[in-house]
Amino acid sequence: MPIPIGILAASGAGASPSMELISTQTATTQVSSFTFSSIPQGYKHLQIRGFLQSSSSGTSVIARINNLTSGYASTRYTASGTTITVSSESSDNYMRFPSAQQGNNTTNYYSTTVFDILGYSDTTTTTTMKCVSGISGLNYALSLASAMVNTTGAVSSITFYDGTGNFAIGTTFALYGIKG
Amino acid sequence: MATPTFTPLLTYTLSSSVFYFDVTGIPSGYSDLYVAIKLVGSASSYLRFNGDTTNVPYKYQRITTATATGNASASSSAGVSSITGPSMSSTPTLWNIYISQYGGSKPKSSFMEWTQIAGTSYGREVGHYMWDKTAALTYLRIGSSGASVSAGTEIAIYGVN
Repeated sequence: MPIPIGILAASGAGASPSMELISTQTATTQVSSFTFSSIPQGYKHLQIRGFLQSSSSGTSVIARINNLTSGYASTRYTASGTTITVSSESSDNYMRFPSAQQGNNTTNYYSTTVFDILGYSDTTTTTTMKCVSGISGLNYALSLASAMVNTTGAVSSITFYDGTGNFAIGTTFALYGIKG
Repeated sequence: MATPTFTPLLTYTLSSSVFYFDVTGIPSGYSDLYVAIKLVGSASSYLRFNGDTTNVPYKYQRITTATATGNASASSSAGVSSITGPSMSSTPTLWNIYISQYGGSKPKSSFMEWTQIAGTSYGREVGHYMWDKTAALTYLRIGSSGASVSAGTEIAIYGVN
């Protein structure tokens, strides 16, 4: 039974958006990092969506908040094949998140990864970021992760790095602001 | 006014039971696609992009819990003919799918999750599926494996910028 889109497609038009795209960055050459700086403070929460491929194998995507170089802790719950593992770090120099899809520009497979930062403008609580990530194709993993940095400052910049190599061409990070 | 990030494309409620239904004419003007389904029916359910089953085109990694207190189990595959959804019952199951760059020329990377509580039956799954084809996604087929998708099933589709 076909249900064509378009019959009901006009619903919701004109409503005030509660989630807005702030910035999108896509790698046109291999790059080691992506940075969102001067992040506006007018939202309640942030979300970052990644479409990721790495030039390396099996290393974490890592991140820094406000260019801080210490005070990070991370934990991850990862399924790969039939195995589920848990890993964590404390007193670290980065937030550590699941790996991107391996590929090194030799494949069109990319992982889908979604990061959330709740209350990013709050100056009374530490900054915490959670993440869900999935990869299928050359390698397989599904991960749930969270990480924090022991500071109470508002988040004004976020930098994502490939753990040991570069992000491949086509890798995309999109930053969204969510109103509260 | 800022451009809405989530644009509603379709909301639809089945008025009668069917073996499967297709959502056709998905426009290409968005970056990603978000699909929310309230699923009612019997037997197991499936999702296919463009109805495709050729050369077992779906790869996946998923985590599943099937009981109220049991441990989660993990599984993966490099080739199946459908995205496997929840086992349907008269109690609705919530099923969400997020598809990255659905209109592009790369294999389609998608997240899905569903949650089911029906009487004493519990289920929860989080999975990543890759549709290993380069065609743009233009329609979705949702169906039942051997039985029916029942009246009352609802689907909502959003374009994401």
